[in-house]
Amino acid sequence: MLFNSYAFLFVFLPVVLLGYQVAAHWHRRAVIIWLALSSLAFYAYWSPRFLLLLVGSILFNYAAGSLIASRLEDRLPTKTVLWAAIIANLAVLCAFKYFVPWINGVTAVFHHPLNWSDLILPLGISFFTFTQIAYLVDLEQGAAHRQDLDSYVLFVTFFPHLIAGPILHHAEIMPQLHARRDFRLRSDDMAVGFAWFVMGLFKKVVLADRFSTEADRAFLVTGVLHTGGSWVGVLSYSLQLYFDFSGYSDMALGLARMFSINFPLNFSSPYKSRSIIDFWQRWHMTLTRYIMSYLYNPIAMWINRRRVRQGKKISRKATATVEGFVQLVAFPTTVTLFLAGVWHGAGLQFVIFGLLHALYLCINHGWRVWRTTRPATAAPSALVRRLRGIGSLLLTYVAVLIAQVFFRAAGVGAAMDMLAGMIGRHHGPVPLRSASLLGVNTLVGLVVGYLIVWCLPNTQQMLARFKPSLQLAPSDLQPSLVRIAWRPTPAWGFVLGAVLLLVLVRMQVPSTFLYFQF
Amino acid sequence: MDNPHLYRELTEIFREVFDDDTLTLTPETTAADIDGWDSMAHIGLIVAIEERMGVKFNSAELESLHNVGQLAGVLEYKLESRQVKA
Repeated sequence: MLFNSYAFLFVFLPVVLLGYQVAAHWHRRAVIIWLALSSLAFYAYWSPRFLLLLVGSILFNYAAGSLIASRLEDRLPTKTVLWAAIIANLAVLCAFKYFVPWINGVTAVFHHPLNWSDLILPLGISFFTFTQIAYLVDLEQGAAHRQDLDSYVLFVTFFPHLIAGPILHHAEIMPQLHARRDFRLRSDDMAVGFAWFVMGLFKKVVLADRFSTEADRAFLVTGVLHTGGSWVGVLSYSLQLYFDFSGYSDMALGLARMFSINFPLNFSSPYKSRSIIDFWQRWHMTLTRYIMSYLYNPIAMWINRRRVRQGKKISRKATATVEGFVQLVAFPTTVTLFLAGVWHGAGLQFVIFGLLHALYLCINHGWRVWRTTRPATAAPSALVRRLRGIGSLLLTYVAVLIAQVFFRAAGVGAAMDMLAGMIGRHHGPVPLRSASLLGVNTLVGLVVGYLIVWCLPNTQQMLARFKPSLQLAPSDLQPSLVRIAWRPTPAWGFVLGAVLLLVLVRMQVPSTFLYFQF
Repeated sequence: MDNPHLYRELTEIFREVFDDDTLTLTPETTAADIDGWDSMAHIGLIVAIEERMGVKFNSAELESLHNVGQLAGVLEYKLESRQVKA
């Protein structure tokens, strides 16, 4: 079920909220079971067939977790159980992500989902697989506790995060499910959650879906577009991706908040980043956190230990040698980003997307290791600092933009064509002058989009006073150019009511989310 | 600082990893106080401690150790349980 559909807004959500309130009068477990069953229904609405897969995955992992938690060291080493379970999880994920599309020869469908019922990938499979693998790893390492089945099912399936994240960590959600609190609906959480949800819905329905028209049109005719059209297409896609995923995340956090559950942040104005390292700490934050903990750190630890065994140094000085940098920084970064790239899709363009970001990160880390520190006396003036900040922001953004062309294009060839078009090197003698790509409406749309991205505060900043998430990102503490703060007042109610009305009119044909294909 | 010997040894490791002979540690020292103690250097630091003290950390423990007091606490526990086993 899509958040941006009438069925969700007018039937599913009210029924679940009402049922929650009724169950709360009864018992905490009744609330947990009600939310878990509702979430399974939410999934089944899309595909009853894949509900079996979801339930199967949960039962399998719950059994594996119980085996690990019971610590039958003498008969069955927990490490063996863990590895067997991880391999089984990844095998199912890879089968659906790479093998099924390959035998069907419909990889293209994944990239341009015309109709979301055409999708063969079980929705959310990456997300529920990753969440569960992390839980098993932590159980094995003694960093997680065994859960009762109903809490575990709810943790994995809770509908606000089930399909496209944020990727939850058991340590931040389980205590909230077990807290001794009144599980009835709270008016303050409802107000914050609803405001957050409407802001996200606006980003998705009014902004992202608007930019998708130009983005789709431009990426359909890569190679023959003139320079202006290429730029409009790429910038439109960049804004579409941003508002689509950021809007989805806002809705997810807002929905969870309606039930007084706090999710971790997933977005913190990533296009305001001034370096690539900064970018990854602000874009899809829960994925970054996940791959750092479960991919990068284990790889880096393995390399560090190996170097120590070989009698090599692992100090800061060692990192500043070429050999040390390659082993200690470049290698784990490249492997991690390569896997992150491949996770996004089966085509070569996703490999290039991952490797490009690996290269960016290595340059960024290399810069930090080798740059000469300026003498403190020559502190630049405020104006120079400001200009330098804008320069870093634009440089970071262009790097992100180039990688996004590979992320979006149907293949490497199409991506190269698009990039060539952006510097005026299109095929053929006469470039295609697509008037619709350079219309006044389109250009005004882009300007408004970038004003929102660069000048306005993000939603958690607007809601900051009401502690919108588990923890605000450090970058959220920097004020934006324009300051807006939400308050539970009639004026804000009126504004968001009008926004909701606008959204409802526009929402007649609900569109799927870009991140559903992962 | 109930274990001065442990802190002396930790200080030596920190000085070597961060190439700074003036570093001094207190239980309240955190990653923010030491220049270069980012998530990458953190892994080198933990592996250096493993090597010197003969203990092992798992990746789940990594996250919670960006503070010298906690690090010393976990380390003390590990060293003690090793003595008990021996």
